[in-house]
Amino acid sequence: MDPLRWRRFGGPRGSGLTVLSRGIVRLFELVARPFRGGEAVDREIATHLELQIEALIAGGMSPETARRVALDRFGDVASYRRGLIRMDDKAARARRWRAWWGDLAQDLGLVFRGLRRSPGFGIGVIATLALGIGVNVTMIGLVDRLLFKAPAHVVDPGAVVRYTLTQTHPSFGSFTNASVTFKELDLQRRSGALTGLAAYYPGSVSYGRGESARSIRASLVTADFFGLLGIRPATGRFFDPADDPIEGGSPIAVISERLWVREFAGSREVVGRSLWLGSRQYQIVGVAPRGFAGIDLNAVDVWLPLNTGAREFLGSGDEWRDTWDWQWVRLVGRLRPEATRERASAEATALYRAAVADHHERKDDRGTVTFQPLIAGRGTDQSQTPTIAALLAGVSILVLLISCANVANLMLARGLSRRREIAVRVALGVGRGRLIRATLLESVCHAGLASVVGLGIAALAGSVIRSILLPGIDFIDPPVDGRLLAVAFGVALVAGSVVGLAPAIRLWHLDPAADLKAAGPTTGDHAAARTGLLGFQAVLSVVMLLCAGLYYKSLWTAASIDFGFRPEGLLTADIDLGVAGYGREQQWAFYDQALERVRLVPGVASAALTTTNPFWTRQASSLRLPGRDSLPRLKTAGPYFSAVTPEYFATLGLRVARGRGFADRDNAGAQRVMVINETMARTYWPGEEPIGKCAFVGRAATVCREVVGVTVDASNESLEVEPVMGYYLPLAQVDGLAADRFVMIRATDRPEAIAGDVGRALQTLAPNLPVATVRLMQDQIEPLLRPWRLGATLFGLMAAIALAVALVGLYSVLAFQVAQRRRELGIRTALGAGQSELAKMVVVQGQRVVLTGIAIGLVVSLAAVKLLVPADLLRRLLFQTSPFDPVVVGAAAGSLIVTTLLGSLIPARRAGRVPPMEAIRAD
Amino acid sequence: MRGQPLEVLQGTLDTLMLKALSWGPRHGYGVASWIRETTTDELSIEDGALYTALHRMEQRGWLAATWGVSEHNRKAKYYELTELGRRELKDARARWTRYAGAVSAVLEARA
Repeated sequence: MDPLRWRRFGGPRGSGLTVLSRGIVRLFELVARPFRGGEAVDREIATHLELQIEALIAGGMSPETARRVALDRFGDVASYRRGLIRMDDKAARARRWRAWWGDLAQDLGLVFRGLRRSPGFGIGVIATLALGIGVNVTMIGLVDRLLFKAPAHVVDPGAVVRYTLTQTHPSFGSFTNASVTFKELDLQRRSGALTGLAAYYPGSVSYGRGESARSIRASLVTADFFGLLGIRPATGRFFDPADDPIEGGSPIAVISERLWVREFAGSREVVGRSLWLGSRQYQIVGVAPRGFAGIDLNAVDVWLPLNTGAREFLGSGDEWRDTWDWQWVRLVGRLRPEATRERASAEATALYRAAVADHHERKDDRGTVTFQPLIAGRGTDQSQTPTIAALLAGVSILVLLISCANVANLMLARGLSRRREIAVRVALGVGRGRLIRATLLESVCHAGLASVVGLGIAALAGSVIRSILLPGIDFIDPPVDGRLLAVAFGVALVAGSVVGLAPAIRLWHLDPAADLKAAGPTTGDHAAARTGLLGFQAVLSVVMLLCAGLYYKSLWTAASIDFGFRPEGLLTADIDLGVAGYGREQQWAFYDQALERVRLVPGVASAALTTTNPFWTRQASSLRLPGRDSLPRLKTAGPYFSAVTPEYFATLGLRVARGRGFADRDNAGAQRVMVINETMARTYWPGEEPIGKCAFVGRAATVCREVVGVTVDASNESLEVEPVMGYYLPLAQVDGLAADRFVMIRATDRPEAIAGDVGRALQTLAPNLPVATVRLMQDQIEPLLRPWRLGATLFGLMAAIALAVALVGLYSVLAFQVAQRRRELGIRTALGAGQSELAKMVVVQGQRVVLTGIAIGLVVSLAAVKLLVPADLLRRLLFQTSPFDPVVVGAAAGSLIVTTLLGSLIPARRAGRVPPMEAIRAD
Repeated sequence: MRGQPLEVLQGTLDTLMLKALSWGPRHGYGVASWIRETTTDELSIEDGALYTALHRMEQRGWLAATWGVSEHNRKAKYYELTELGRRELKDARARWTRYAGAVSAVLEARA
């Protein structure tokens, strides 16, 4: 190819050799490669014809005849030429492929030999990348499960929609609810955009009897629920409309495959057998297919027909069927093929508004129905967990980036120490492209191995997170599935290419001559790139630290929230008496006895009965005020009530702000009274004295109850700061409004110490009863803290990983630089620089990079939050915590600075201790 | 007696060319003229077909090709037998002898 070399070997008009020795011919070919493709074929044919013509002329032919004969003997020149070129091209292509694969195999061999030769470097790279990939895959798996995966077995899930109702309140803004009234089911079944609409109501029910009884998740469903989703039973059948008449339905149930396997060993004869749910036996008619556990995140184990089940589990007769007050069922529909969600939503909105137009309690001409997709709707429950998980997954990419930056830095450093070796390879004729490919191949191989390790980490971390941080969600599928495998290898491929890029770029600008001459690696080389990568790590680390800090602050704020009562030291106890066949009156008598018995347990300060259990159950009833047509509504709906014994307020530590609490004299024969909370007082009687006012409680109430006291607001549903209206009735005057009973117990000391005694005390009242459930109030609050705990734990973990990786990265960069500058440092020492002076130099160098990184990280992330994140999303993501919290920002920056100091300590000490003469002699 | 030149089968042509190269490297013209002289023009072979065969055998690994300078200072592609080619020549020769022997035996058989 190169004309100069070609001539040096005496090209066509050269030496005049008649026969070239084989060796020279070979060398000639190697260096000169005179022809390619068609050119070579043309030359060959031309030579042939020329020699032939010359020979013929020498034999006595005229040139004209000789030319004709030569061409004649050759045949169709053009056609032969085309054939030969085709053959040569094909052969050349095959040769190139063979060479490419051969090189690849050779380079792969080099990668693994390198791993064996210096395992430290390989292990460092693989471990760092594995951490990054592992964290990412774990988070992506979590988010995939929480947000993106359609429930199994649903036919054409894209056409399945969830009904949500957005109501707008003049003073509280709009709020969206997936739980709606039962009336809306019949109403919306008229919609022409849907082929069907089913209702379900998720809850829990006690399963079994006696000591082995426990709570499982149940869902009340309309008969068309399974058919609408397109689910087919694994065995038996699902419900028919005939199964679920409004009255007099027989108790039947469909169970999940999980329950089937666990309790019935997957026996085919399960259909027709019975199981105890609550106080009745239900006959099993069918089993749902494996992997189907309802369409919400919480896995359901048993489905019951809605009419029959509601009678049993909602109590209160049929009130739920025909009221606009009870928002409880969730609706799920299937769109007609030609319908869109928008059209269906518009039609449903019109139906809703028309239906409530002449209903004064609910008059709502701004209420809007929106059909949500099935999958997105999985996040519509109150919990922030899915949103926070999505944020975690986004931020986990930062961990991967930090690992990549670190590994790129390591590879750059190694590239420097290998530059002579590489220069030699280049001088020996190994192409630059081949070297770059080998580098990329090496990093992709490392990343591939890292992804295998990372998948292991993800499988482990996934199950730990599931069981410890998300116990409320029953995961059915394994933590690592095919989708995640693909994600992991995809991530590895990208990460490997990115990481290999820096050294590859270096190879591109390779100057073998200079590298061969250089005595050894020099400091100036790529210092900027390496420092940049380090700064980049600092930027990302500070973002991670900020997230972790904000979630710790959120968790702390949420955990130390003022509930209006003192949950610490409180116990609640109840026994499922329905199982034992007790009637209502018997149950109430039992609890009166239980209260007396529990008070005698040593360590019990006080005890009271209530009809609702904070953070566990709540109850509402219709309420009217004399002389008023309609009452103001709050975003949090309500008012909710509890019927309580007189000691209730003292036991919970709930302060009565005005008026009085209840006393023994508020008995069945006395004037009906109630105590309301401050929000209810403010909402119903703004600016007035509520004490002395009265209200009718209960649909059939004829007596107006007098308000005798006002308590501070007590949270009993969620951590949200939205005010909730609530009121209390004396248990003696409850007039059949509430069926449930719970015992609330305040311990003098540690509540967990007396929980066992309380349980046993209740048991002695009736030895044949199922075990009493005794819970710590703190345990009931704990699930509400879960999203924040999830965020705090995982962000904390990621931040710790980021810090560790950054520490190692900083250490290796500084240590490497100190090693490179031994000579310079030695000279400085010789010239009189003190140890501490040199050490300081190294520390300052590290801090400068990191401080710049911190500054950039803080500015960028805070600006991003300010400009890009809507305020209401931020409110959902952080619990009453400002993203600009100065303590959090300070702590994030501070911990990174301390880490940097730690990372620079050893290199700094080394820098100060370089023996002057040895360092100078070293070269 | 001299009639029409004889057609040559492809396998046979390969064998002839391997033989032509058995004395050392030659370029295409050298192979062509050697065959022409040796067979005294009895065989009808287009020179182009010779080249096709040369390239094919090169790709099969029977021949190795190098560029060199010919008698009259022309760049020419020289072919030589590889070890594989040498073996093929031996085999082909044995095959041919058996084949010719068998055919002759049939043709010369009496009753």
